[in-house]
Amino acid sequence: MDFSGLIHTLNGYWMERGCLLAQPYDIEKGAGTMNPHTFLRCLGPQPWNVAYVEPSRRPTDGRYGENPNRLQHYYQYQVVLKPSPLDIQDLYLGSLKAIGIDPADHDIRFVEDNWESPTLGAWGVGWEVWCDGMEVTQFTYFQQVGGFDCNPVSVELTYGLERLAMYIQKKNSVFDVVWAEKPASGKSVSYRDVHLATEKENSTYNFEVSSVEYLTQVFAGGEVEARRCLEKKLVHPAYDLTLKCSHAFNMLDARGAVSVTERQNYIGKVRTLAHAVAKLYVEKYTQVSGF
Amino acid sequence: MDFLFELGLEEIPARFMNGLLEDLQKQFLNQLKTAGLQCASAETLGTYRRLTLFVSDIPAEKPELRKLAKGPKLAQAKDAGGQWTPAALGFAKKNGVTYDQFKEVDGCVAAEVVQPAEKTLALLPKLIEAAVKAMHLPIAMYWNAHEGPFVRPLHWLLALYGSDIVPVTLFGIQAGRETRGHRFLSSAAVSLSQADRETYIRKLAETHVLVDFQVRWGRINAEIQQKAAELGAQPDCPPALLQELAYITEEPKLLVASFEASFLSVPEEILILTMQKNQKYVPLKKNGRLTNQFLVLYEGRDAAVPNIREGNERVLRARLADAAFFVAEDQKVPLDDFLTTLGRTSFIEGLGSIRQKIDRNVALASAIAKSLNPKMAKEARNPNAGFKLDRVERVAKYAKADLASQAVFEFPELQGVMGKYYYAHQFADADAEEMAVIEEHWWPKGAGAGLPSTALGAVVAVADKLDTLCGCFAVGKIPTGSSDPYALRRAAQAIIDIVDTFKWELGIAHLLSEVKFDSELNEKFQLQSQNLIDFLTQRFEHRLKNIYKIDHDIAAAILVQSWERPVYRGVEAARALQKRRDVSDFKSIVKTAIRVERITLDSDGRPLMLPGFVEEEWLQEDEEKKLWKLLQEIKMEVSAALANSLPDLALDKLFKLASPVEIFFEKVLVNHEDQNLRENRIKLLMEVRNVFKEIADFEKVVLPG
Repeated sequence: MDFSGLIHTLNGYWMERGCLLAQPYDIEKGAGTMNPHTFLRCLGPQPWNVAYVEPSRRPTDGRYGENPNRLQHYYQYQVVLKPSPLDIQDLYLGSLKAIGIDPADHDIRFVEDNWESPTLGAWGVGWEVWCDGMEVTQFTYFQQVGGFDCNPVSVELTYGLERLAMYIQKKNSVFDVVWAEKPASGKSVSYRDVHLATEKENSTYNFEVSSVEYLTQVFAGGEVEARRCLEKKLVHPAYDLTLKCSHAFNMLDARGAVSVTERQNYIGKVRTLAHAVAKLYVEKYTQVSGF
Repeated sequence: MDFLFELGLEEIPARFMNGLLEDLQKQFLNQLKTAGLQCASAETLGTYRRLTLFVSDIPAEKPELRKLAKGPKLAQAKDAGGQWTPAALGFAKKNGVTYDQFKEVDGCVAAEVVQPAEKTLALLPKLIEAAVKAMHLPIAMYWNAHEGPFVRPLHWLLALYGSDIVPVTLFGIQAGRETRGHRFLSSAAVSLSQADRETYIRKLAETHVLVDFQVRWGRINAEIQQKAAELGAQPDCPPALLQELAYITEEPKLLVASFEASFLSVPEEILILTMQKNQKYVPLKKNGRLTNQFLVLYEGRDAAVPNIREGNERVLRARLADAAFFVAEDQKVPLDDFLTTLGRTSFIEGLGSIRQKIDRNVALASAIAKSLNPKMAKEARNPNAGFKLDRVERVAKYAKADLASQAVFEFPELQGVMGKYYYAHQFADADAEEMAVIEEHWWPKGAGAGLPSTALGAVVAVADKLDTLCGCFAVGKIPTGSSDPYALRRAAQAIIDIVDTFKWELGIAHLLSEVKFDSELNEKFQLQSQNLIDFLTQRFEHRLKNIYKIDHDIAAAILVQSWERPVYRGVEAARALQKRRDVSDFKSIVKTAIRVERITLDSDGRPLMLPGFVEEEWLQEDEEKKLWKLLQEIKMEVSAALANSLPDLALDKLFKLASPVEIFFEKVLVNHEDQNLRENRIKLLMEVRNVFKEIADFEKVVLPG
């Protein structure tokens, strides 16, 4: 199964189980959780079932494309079900089977891993799911988001698409993963073809070229702008700006420009914004329709 | 009849299993007792998917209970008009009685309260609900439409009393007689006709679930030993890992897997940690050295073994490649660059960067080594023996350099271990002792864990801990009650343990005098010196009592002196005293000491201050002359014995003073009207007192009767 097929199969599987197929959100972010389809929709009482691919950026994880397992940009497959169905573990295992990992032929375990995002004021409990010793999914019951208790509780499944593809295709390097193969000609495109250049260039930019002054301005400006939006009760622009601040902080961190004390300060600022956004969303969107 | 109860849950974290099972049993037995029911025995069983409680022989009925309940005084139960008051009404309601059942007992309202007999089966649901609700949850979560809280979502409930289902509902799940087998290895539901322990265990075993922890533990342990033996290897499986393995499986099996031997050139500690901590594998060693084979615990069909082995090997390969990458990258960095990085990392608020902390460690280690050197030279009868100061400084300087390394960032547990390799990589002349110091200056790693193994390691470890301790006190981060975020008690304990073990010829006060901070901080530190002495003295007391089993009063007799005297000498004196506490000589010396102490103190309990020394010309009576002469000899003998670590001999000598002092008290009038004679006699007794204090404050010893 190629990388495209993997995504296609997961889309099909979750669509059939009543999920809305959403699209990636167009702002840089560290994880699929930060997409408003998760962060905002997990708040409030309305049911919500959604699945989408999310490109995720972790500037500090860049390795110039030289490490077979680490990337500063990668893809998460994100499923959120609210309220969490009682048979969610079985549903999840069904999705593994759909992509060719039959639990009967492997050793699948749920290994404790609690999730926390200090910047989002969010935490949950759950597991990382291991397939033959490899973490393939993060499985989390959200308990709080934006500082608010989750009621009803959402469950979030985050599949590491590259890892799954490496596993299914038995590749030792992510760059060897086959992204797509034409059935007729057998002509294929690899992950290397698509992303080696972006990994190299972005690693150079993140670690060596990016301007601390510029990034500091992005953070400071974003924070002010987000506050202005909050004053005008504009939830979504305020949230977009919060995401921009969060990414600017990650970039500053990769540049080694954040000291231990400043780190807490930055995280605290983003968390304060995220909390204000969550609060405003809950107040303003009481009648939003669920799915 | 027996009671069998199983909570079927989503995967419970291994680290909570023991506590949860214990608590389930405790809470249920509490409820049972409160309800007036008994049982013969109770036991828990469990896996990551189930918490099971088995209680045997609970009687079928709770018997009728009659007891006399006493209420308010009559005067308060009726008002002036003879009407029952709210207090009386409250008492009646609380006990379910009416006014006509009231009696009078000892001037109070009373009533016979009858708790009717009740069927156990009808009682059990309430008891179960209350017990589960009362459980301490180490992690509490909600799920679905805010169901909970519990450790994990509940999926089924097995609750049988004899052959009856206990009609209880928890978190929306109704109890039944069904349990479930292994999630993947069995699909059939398992139904039980009655609460029978053996049947329950057997039926689960048939569906690939070994529900008894002990059985799984034993099987894993046996199989690890057997597999290792077949390969001629020894497993490296710490008890905590074995326990965890037994809780992350319902049907344990082990397979042998391997990684590329080329990884064995990477420091083995990082390979072992990767296997044990990240992947829960059991590394295999031969002749104490790591091999490229390891054991993997798995659950699965035999046919799945090739997949499982290949998958695990692939994961480990990626992880080891990561580890090897970190080590290789780290080794490209000169250690001084690490130190530069640490100049930007703050240590503890108010105490500068880690680099600054390191600089203080170097100065302190060097000062301590200098103070210890003369003694070491003397013992070795070699003027060149002792620490080489350039080595002390070098090793203290780089002992923490690895904190800036990638490997330690990924594996904080390897601080010191990676540093040891990086140090040897940079300095071709680094010897085994220096490498050991880098690793062991962090020791002990916990209460009772090993101390640094070398004299040099002791110096660097104590300097490091002493700087942290004194620095924290100086900036006001002083432990209070149970709050000790910088683990200063542990640091102080380590200092005491090390200086005793290595028999340092330095007292606590001397050690503290070597500590220096920058000007402003140094003033704050000086203000804390008495607090620090007290804090360290408490840890010394702890060591005397817990390691050497010294009685409280003897420890107290030793401790007053202990901040000047080297710790190990205090220990020697304490042990010598402890050994003799029941000997009659000992009792008389204590009595004498108390007598001397009383007469040489002023009315406020402070030692009298008399100028000048004992003048022989004022010694008149034979008894005081004799005592003075004897005292001179004994004083020298006691000092010599103590200096040679012969506290028993010192005590023997000291004991010789008891009877002459007593005779002195009998025959000589201390409170003589002639001031010269009087003061001279008191000075003589103060000299006696000083000789006693060379060993202990004897007056603190508690004599029986």
